[in-house]
Parts: sequence; structure tokens; C-alpha cells
Amino acid sequence: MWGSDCDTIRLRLALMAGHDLPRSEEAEVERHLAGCVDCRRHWAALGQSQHVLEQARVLSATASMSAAGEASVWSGVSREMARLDERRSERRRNWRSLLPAGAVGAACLTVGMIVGDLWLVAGSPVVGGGDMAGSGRTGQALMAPRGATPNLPVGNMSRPATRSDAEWPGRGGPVDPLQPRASGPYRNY
Amino acid sequence: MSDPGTGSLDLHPLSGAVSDARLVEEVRQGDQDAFGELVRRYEGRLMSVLMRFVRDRELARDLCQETFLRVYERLDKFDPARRFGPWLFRIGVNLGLDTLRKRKRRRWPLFFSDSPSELGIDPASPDPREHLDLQQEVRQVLDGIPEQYRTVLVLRDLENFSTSEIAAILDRKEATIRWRLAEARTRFQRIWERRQSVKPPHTLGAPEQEPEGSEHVGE
Repeated sequence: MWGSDCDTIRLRLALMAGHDLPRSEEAEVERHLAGCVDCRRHWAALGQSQHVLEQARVLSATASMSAAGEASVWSGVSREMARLDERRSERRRNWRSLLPAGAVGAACLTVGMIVGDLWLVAGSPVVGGGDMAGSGRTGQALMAPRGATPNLPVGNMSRPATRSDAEWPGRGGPVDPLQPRASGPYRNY
Repeated sequence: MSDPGTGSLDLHPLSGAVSDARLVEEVRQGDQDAFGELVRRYEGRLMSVLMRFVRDRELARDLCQETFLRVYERLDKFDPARRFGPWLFRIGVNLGLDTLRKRKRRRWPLFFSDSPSELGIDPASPDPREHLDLQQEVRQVLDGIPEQYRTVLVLRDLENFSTSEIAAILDRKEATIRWRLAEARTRFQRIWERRQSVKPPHTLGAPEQEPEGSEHVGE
């Protein structure tokens, strides 16, 4: 069995056989070869197999030369390229045709969000304490899950009896969404 | 078809011809003739490489065409700071290797063609059988080498790419390629020697299979 030196040298020999070893490393390999019979034998065998590969390369290069008169693949490639471009532009056209519908959809969504926001501000139970659009539930009651008993005084559950409807926003009182809201825990809502 | 040529991937750097980068830019601007120039520049070499992998001229031609189409399709993603040749060959080599793997999975019995016309042997030459035998023998030895080594050996010793070009094609470090090349040559020599010592001349046996490593080159 070879020593670890021989293992390393043999990898370098394989590179040297195809002129792929840097010249700076060749001197060290040659020094090793001078003193190692096994590696010299391996070097000779590598030379033979490398010669076979070289012959095979030359032969197939000759074969390729004889096939060089073959028609170029360009005609086939250009035909397929035209098809590819056609498909691409069709996809682009389809995508463009969807643009107006997408724009209308986005506009509807934006308007809906604005209207919804205004509506929430105007009729928000947490601000106004009134019923949510026909839900039959009052502001704080909405915080609790349906069926749970809210921790509220019995009677009129969400508004103090001292205020009139006109004092409550959303209950007949003036609501201006652009104005700062009344003081309270939800001021910055 | 253009001459396959041998040597560097920069096929026309000093000849006054338009550079690959310039042609790529022109193709991006819609000039299809510029792509035609790239095709003519590389098709011979690419066909030769693909033939090494699939060993069937018609299939290699299809793969060659497919490679150029993929290149055209992905040209927007190509980084112009990099070299066009290795990128093209990377796509081609991947296609060739994928085709080989699919064939193996389907267990196609005909791994390569023995027909002289496909091997490109000139019938007018004195005795094509000798060449045929050598080519077949080399192929069978190559088939006994795991793919990751065989690919490097084929590109370096049969297609004459430099190790730095192979590193660019296979997207590996050059040191890795050199190590694989050394290993591949050692394995080739070992199998070649074994076959020569156990067989009478001009007799072909079954390929000696070693454990197959598999990898896919990143594009």
C-alpha cells in the first residue's frame, strides 16, 4: 500500500498527465517520482490511458468535422422563437385586457373602504354606544361574545340615563368625522 | 453547422467580431438576427458536447435546439457581467445529464448508438473498425465512472475545455473541478488497465459499474 505522500502525489500525477498541474508543483512531483518505483509505474500507466483519451478526442473531432456540413439548428430555433414571442405577446395582451376590470375593482374596494370607515365613525357603538346596524347589540355588548352575560348594570345597558339622545353622536347628535372626537377612552380610535 | 472548434469559450475575442455581450444586448433589444449569430457561433461546440452525453445525433440536435430556446427564454435573467459561453453550456450540459438520467430510469437498453453514421466515421477511411473499437472501449470505460467525475473528464479531456471554464459551466470552484479531474483520470486509468488485462483485443464486455454519484448543475 502507498504512503500518504504517494496518495497526494498520485492525484497530482493525474493532473500532470493532462498538463493541468502548475509548473511550481511539478518539480516536487518529479522529485518524488525519482525515488518511488510504484509512483513511476502509476505515472507510466496514466500516460497510456491519457494517450487513449487523446486519441478518442482527435477521432471524435474528426467525426464532428465530417458532420460540420450538417444544417444549422438556427432555422428550427428561429421558428420556435417566433412561436415563443407570439405566446408571450398573447399573454401580455390578456394581462392588459384585465387591467380596466382590475382598476374598477380596486376603485370599488377603495370607495367601499372609505364609505365603511365613515359609516363606522358615524354609527360606531364604541363611540356612540348605539346599536350596530341592525345587530340589536349595543356597543359594549358587542365586545362580549354572543350569549355571554356582559358585565353591565341592569336596565339600559350602555348609556347613562342622564344624557338625551341628542347629546349622543349617532343618536341624533351632530357628527362630523373630520372634527376631533369627543374625549373618552376611545378618543384616538 | 459551424465547426465545433477546440479551445476557449470566448470564441471571437480578438478576431474583430462582435462580442457575445454585445450580441446578447442586441437580442434583448429585439434583434433576432443577433441571436442567430450566437447560435451559429456556439452550435458546433454544443452539439459536440451533447453528443458526448447522449451519443445520438438526432437527440443531440434536439437538445441543442432546446438549449438555445431556453437561453432565449431566460436571456432577461442573464447577468451581462458574466460570460455568455459558460452559461449557455451549463444549460446544455444540464439538459444532456437530465436526458441521460431519464433514460436510465426508463432502463433503455440502448445507451449509445453503435451505428457508424452516428459516430461520424468516414466509410472511405481504410479500416474504420479500429477507430470504432477504441471509441466504444473509451465509452464503456467512461460509463463505469460516476457521473460527477465523468462529466469533468469528458469536458476536459474530450472537449478540451479548461478547468476554469468547466468550473464556470458546472458552477463549482476550480479546486473542486481539479480534484474531480484527478480522481476521474485515476479511475479511468484503473478501469482501462483492468479491461485491457482481462480481455483479448477487440472484445467488448459489459461496462463496469461503480456507485453512481449524481448532481445537477445550478443555472
